Amino acid sequence: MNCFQWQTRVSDILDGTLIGSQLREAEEHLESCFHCNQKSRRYLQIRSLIANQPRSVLPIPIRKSPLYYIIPRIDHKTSRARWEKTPWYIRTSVEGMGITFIILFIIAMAPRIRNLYQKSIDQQLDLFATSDLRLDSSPEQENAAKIPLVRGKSSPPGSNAPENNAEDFQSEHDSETPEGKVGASEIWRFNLKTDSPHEVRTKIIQILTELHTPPQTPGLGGFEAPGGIQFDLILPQSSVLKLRVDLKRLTRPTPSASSEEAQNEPFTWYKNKSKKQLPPGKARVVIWLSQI
Amino acid sequence: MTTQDQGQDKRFNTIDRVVQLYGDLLFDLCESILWSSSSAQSAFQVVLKEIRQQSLRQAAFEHYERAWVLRIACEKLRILVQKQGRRLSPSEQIMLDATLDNKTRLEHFDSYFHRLPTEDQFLLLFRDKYGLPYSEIASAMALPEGSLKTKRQQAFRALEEWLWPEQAPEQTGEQPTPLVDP
Repeated sequence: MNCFQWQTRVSDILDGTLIGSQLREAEEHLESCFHCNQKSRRYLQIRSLIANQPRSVLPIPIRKSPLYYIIPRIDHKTSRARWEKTPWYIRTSVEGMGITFIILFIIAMAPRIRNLYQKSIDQQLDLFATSDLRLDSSPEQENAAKIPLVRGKSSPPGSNAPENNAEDFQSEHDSETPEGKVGASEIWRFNLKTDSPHEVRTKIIQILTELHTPPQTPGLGGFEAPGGIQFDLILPQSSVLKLRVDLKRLTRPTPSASSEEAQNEPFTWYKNKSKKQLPPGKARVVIWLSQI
Repeated sequence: MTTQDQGQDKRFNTIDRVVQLYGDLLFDLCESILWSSSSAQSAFQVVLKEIRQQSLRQAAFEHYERAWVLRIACEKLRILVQKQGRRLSPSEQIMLDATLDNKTRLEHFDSYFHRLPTEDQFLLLFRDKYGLPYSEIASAMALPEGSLKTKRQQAFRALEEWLWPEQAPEQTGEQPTPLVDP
């Protein structure tokens, strides 16, 4: 008997049903073949493991009523069912009071939560301001950092606002910033609304050229973006004031403009602190020409 | 007594007799295959209900009652294993294949046993745990006896490979066995 023949008769060998010459051949093979001998011992061990598996006995309650025995389940709804059994007038009154209490609590707490939120925002702004102050170490820069954020609008058309010129701007600026200086690391944003951004673009380029902006300044020509044209450049701080006046002139409303158009504020500007460190005496200027 | 009453009496007598004679065997089979005591209780009831349904339709079981009961149990348990049988999680599978020593592997014999196909589990339980003759097993599993022997041999070989995995020759330091004798 070879290994293959022994393998095919494993079932009979394990059951002990092999008899006669076949049994003798199998035993002889096991004596001569270490591999099959090892397998035989392992198979016997597996068989004993299966045979010695613990046997479960049918539980008595099931034996008594095998078909109708209700298998206990974990009831998650006990507490809810108990609540539903209480009389309706108690349930409704308690639930109603609970809902009223929740609504009153929300009404009372909403302003406080809002105040807390505002306070947290103020704290964040203070932190931002102090960190900015630390960055600007020179006295001039410290003075500049003290300048409050400035926001301006063009005067509405139709009102008796004086003609925009440099003096007007200076006085307006003085009222907003007592120091009269533009701080370092600033960003100026000018928003212009116009019918023809492309025409205004050439005028802005002309203004920038007149302000002695070097032709190799990056962003001098502006770039087209969805909804308008944007200029993003770094200019000397001294030229920003002049630029603002010129831009304001550009968007002066025509006498034929209706009152609705006038309310659209064709020219607005903002000044903010810039997180980016700029060279001293320089300011970042962003001009956005939007199509009306 | 009407024919319907006689039928109902027969059904209840059959159930009582099955529970009395094979209740423990059936319950242990359910628990061994489903690998869960709570699932075994509901499975046992499912099997009994099916026996009650079939008790009137078939009368041939009286000669081979145990095989008939086991065949119904096998049919039902095959379906229940798909639905509610406990399965090894991927982490358990990885753990079983990890480099455990032989003693630990033998301690986890149940896990390896339930890795076998359900048919092989039935066969090994019937033959090696309950000691049933091949003729009854063949009737219960609807397979010829020769096939049962082959399947049993394959199941043993699979279990042996899982429990005593062959080490690579470089790990043991032995030379690989040549396929053809010189």
